[in-house]
Amino acid sequence: MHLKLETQFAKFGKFVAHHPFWVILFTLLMVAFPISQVPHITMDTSTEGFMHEDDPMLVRYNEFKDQFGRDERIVIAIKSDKIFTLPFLKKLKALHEELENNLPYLDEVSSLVNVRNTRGEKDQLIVEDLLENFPKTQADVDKIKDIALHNEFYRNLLINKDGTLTTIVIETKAFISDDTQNVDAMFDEFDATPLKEVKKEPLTDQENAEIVKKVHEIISKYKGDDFKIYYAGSPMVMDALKSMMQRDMQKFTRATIGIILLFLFLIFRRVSATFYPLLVIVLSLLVTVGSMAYFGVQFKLPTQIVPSLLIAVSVGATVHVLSIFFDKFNTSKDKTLSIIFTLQHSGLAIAMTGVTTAIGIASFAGSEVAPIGDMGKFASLGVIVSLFLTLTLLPALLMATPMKPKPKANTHLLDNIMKRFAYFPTHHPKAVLFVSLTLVAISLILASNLRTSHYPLEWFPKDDSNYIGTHYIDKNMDGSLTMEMVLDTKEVNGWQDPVRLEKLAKLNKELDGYDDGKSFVGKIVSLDTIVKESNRALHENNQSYYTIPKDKALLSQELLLFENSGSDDLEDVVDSQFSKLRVTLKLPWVDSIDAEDILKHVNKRYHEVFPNLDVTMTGIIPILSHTFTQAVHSSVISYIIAFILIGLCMMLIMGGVRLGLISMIPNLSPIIMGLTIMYIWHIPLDMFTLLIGSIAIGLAVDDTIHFMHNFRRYYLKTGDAIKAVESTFYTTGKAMVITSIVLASGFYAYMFGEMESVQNFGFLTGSVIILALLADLMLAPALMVLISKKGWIK
Amino acid sequence: MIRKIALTLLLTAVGLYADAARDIAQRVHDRDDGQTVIQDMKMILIDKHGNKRVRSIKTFGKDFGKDEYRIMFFKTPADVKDTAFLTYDYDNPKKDDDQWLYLPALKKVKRIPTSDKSSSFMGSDFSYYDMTKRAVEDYTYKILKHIKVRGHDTTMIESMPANDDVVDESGYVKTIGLVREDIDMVVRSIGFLKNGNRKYLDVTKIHKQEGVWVIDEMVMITKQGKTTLHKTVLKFDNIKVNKPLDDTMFTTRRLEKGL
Repeated sequence: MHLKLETQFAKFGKFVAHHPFWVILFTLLMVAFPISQVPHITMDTSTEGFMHEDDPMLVRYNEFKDQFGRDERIVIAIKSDKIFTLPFLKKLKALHEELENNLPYLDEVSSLVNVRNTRGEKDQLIVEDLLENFPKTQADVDKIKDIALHNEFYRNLLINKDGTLTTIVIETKAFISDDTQNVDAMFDEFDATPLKEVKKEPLTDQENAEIVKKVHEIISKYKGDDFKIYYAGSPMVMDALKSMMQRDMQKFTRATIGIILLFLFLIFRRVSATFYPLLVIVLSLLVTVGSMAYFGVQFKLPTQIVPSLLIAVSVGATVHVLSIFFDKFNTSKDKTLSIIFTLQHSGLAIAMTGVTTAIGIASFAGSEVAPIGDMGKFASLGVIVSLFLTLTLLPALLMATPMKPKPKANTHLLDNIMKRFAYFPTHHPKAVLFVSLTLVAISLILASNLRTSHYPLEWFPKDDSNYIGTHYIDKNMDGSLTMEMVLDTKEVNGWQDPVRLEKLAKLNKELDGYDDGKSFVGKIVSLDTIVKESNRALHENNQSYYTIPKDKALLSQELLLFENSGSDDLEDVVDSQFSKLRVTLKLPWVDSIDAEDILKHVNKRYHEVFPNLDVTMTGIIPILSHTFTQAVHSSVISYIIAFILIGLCMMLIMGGVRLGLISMIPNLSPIIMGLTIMYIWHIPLDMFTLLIGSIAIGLAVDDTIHFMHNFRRYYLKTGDAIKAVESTFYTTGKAMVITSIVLASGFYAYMFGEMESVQNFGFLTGSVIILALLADLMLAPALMVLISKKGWIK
Repeated sequence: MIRKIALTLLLTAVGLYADAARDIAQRVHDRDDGQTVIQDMKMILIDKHGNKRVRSIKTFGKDFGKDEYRIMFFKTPADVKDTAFLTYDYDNPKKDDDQWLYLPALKKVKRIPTSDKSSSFMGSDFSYYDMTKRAVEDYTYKILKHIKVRGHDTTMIESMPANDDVVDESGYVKTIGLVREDIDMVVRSIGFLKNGNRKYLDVTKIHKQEGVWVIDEMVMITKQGKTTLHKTVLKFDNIKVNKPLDDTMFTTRRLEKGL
């Protein structure tokens, strides 16, 4: 069977050798259409992009945003010991107004300047902005200070307990509706009946980035000794995270390609051997991206791993072709013969590695996390394309390029090294096996202790202002993020019910400050706060009336009064029917895994207290937490499927169940060892590191197939396992070593990245490449020598 | 020299044109809308999902010189029945309006000092500012064009606030209105809010009574772009114009007494 296929590859090699230009033309035509689609690719770096569009959680989140606006807020905190002085308040007001007047897509800016101040004074009921009548003297300021520091609603929302830290909270629009600036078109809307459903687009990441940029621009003007500015909130932090990550990834992908080119040149000393692999990488990457564009799939954050994956796979395959080809060419000096030999010798192995890797990666296609699913689909396509080009375009280009054979020079060194490598596992197979399996066993134990995590904040350099600001605000204002609860009574005026509202007030009080040791609830804002304030103000500011009124009519009248008071705060906490209520709970930014319990607890309590209402937990934090738990979970399943499929492929390739299973040992051990490295270096198992596994699979599988396939061939030819290992090492083995050195150096370059996640990515990928090589240079030969004695290899 | 004359003529023409716009604004302001008005107001609040809430309110209004006093009693919904508001709207823009309210559940009258007229009128899409006459000198005017609305000739006038205080008070950075040329009445307008949203006013039904044009129905829609955020329909019934009303109608005592 294998022999037949190899004869086919030889025939194909002959065809390529005789018609190189036709092959080049044909392959270029094949890739032309998908590549022509590349310009249509769109980027989506949003958090929602992690979810499938019909995910019920996303649907509910969008309903929430449609009703109450965007839950993600920017928090700007200003530290000063002189907050309650005229100059400070003036500066605060100026900053507030500059933000209000200049930020795009703005919904609302809140700070001490405009916070609602509901109070009773004699027979008056005053609902106004706190600084509406701007203080003129220090005595006025002291009055404001007294109000501000005694207002429960403001505390840890806009001012900290001791009055030394105040915040400006920026809410932006959740949706952008298509707009016209044409006056005639506006007036036409009057007669447009019935009102058609208008298209609304959620705020995009680019629009968010515009806001963030403007915020930076404005706050940088106000920084000062008595006006120390910190900032936090997911719109700012996620923006910084994404752009820093993209910058790092792009920078180092370029660096990696540079390093790989340099190494290829040093090893082969030929321009063709340097740039042809690059051509294969670039073309398969473009085809992948073009296909995504054609199918309307957006490029998202996790998809960023695809270029690295394709680099790894393409370099592996092309180096095998180049290495075998040049060895043959340098000795035989016959190009046609060398091409035929190369394809006959390695064509099948390369095809098998490509197909197996593609199948392994395709097992991610079903992931519940949308972009990981996309990666599974399109990266496997990319692998197949790269395989195709390596077997067609690359030999055709080699054939078409005029070149002279070079005498063997620097390969001597490598041959010697290979010889030494071959000695140990073939002469001490049991020792190698014992040591390897012991290491794997220890690794398994260590790896099972690996901590799962998703904590992107920790990816920042520790001196980054996003990192500092978030921790500072979390610590001093009890949280910079929020989770949202929506309690739907499904009845009109359902929340104008004093009993129900009282229950809510009680529960909010119970949860306010709840701390489970890993996270805490910092502050709760809902309708009960507004009602209590109004009730107290209507009762001459008497604190004992800071309660929900018992009389239903009074409650309704107070709410009517509030609606008429000039404050639009009601629409932030309840829908206009008073049927749907929103509760906002402030949280600090902790590891998603650590936030899980508190989210569960809060959700459970609202369900328990309001069993008859439709209770929904939503907001970006629960969604993130849910998504990443899901991601970890579904990745584990994907890996299991991948290994089963790869196992089946190996059985097919090795021509037997037993051999197939044995070959999984060198496939799996580098990945298990990789997990141990993570354990030792405290690298958590998060979504980013989980994706590295897909690259690891690609490389480990490639190495193993190359080794196994060639070993089997030489063994069947000679019947001598030791000789077979040596022959394999001199041919394919060299290619494996070159590939691994080239790739490992390329990926280790990422360790100079700014972000911890990027550094980890490079360190882990590079290490897994080395481990995979070791597994196939030590463990695999040892295994083969041992089982050959049992006569299992047929 | 010729150029100078031409320029002068041009400027005069522009000036006259602007004056024409201002004249229209003045006529709209001066239009006779009755010394007193009594009416039943039905306020229909419609959210973006089409859910409705209905309130019915009895209102009495009277001109006191250039100032306008108004008293309103809620009739339904039942929970807020007899809740009442009394408003003194002063012509002098420097003087804050006065407002009192009476909550029957508390049996107390409270004064609500307010300087912010851009705030919602009873939770509707109309603001207090929308419910009162605009001071002509607060704006500069420009005629944009002439179009027909429901078969009537109208002039499209753009009003730009004369200063930031006007923007603060009204909430509008610009208004474009359609003034019916035959009766000097704004029948449609688009108000551009500070936050980028727009408010679309449509006066859908009017009739003439005792020589005064009165509104039977008008709609205000708040939109973000083309998306409707919220909508209010005001329907007026049993309208009585220029019926003598005693000044004591507009006192806090009357507020407590109820209808």
